[in-house]
Amino acid sequence: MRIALTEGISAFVFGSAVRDRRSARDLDVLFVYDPTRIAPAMIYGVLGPTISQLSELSGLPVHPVVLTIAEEHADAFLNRSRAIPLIGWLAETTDHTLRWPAGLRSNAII
Amino acid sequence: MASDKQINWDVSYSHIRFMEKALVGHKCVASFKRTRDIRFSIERTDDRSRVIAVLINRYTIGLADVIGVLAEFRNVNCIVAPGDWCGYTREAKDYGAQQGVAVFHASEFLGALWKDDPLTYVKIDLKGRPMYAYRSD
Repeated sequence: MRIALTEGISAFVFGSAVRDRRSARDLDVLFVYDPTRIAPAMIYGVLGPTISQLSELSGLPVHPVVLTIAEEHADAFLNRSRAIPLIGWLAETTDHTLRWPAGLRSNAII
Repeated sequence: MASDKQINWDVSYSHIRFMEKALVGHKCVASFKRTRDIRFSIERTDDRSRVIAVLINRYTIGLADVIGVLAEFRNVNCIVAPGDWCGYTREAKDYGAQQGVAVFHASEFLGALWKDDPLTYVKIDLKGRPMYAYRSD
């Protein structure tokens, strides 16, 4: 299952925050986007507020990896990194019911 | 410009110090100047051309990163990730090459400084085969 933050973007957590979420010192997040919906030149502008919200929500600095769907497929990033959906990670890790950012409420499952 | 705000390239002071130390000790580097924290203008020895490199901290450099760097920095010809654990996608490497910009991780970049045209540098293995830091390899 993939959970999209906004239409055309999916997000996953990988790295130390998956292995030991309580002692993680940073949050590695893979964003996979559809370049036919959001141009590569615009994606960081779209993701900027989300990255800030994630950092605030998790209390961790966020290190993004931003790939098109094709880039992710070619590099098999999800399989290799054993990334997990961001929303699931947030639900198990943070007090999301109290501090769920507005931008993350409109998630769509694709 | 990719957006109204500059992208946070996540480069720490330790990354910058690593880069500076590597350049100071490199035999092909005559001098360098760092501006805007992460942009390195490097004068090279033996009439080699100037290299302008931007250091970005991405585990995997993607197409959007290359586009973002080119939108934010002028006259760049190298984009460098700070460690050999970093990599890049084929799209990022190919798009960069089309724009005259080489995408490297750290040790590739230090090797490329020996080349007259860093863009042509490819790391090779012991059997002479090209080695790229594509994540799929």
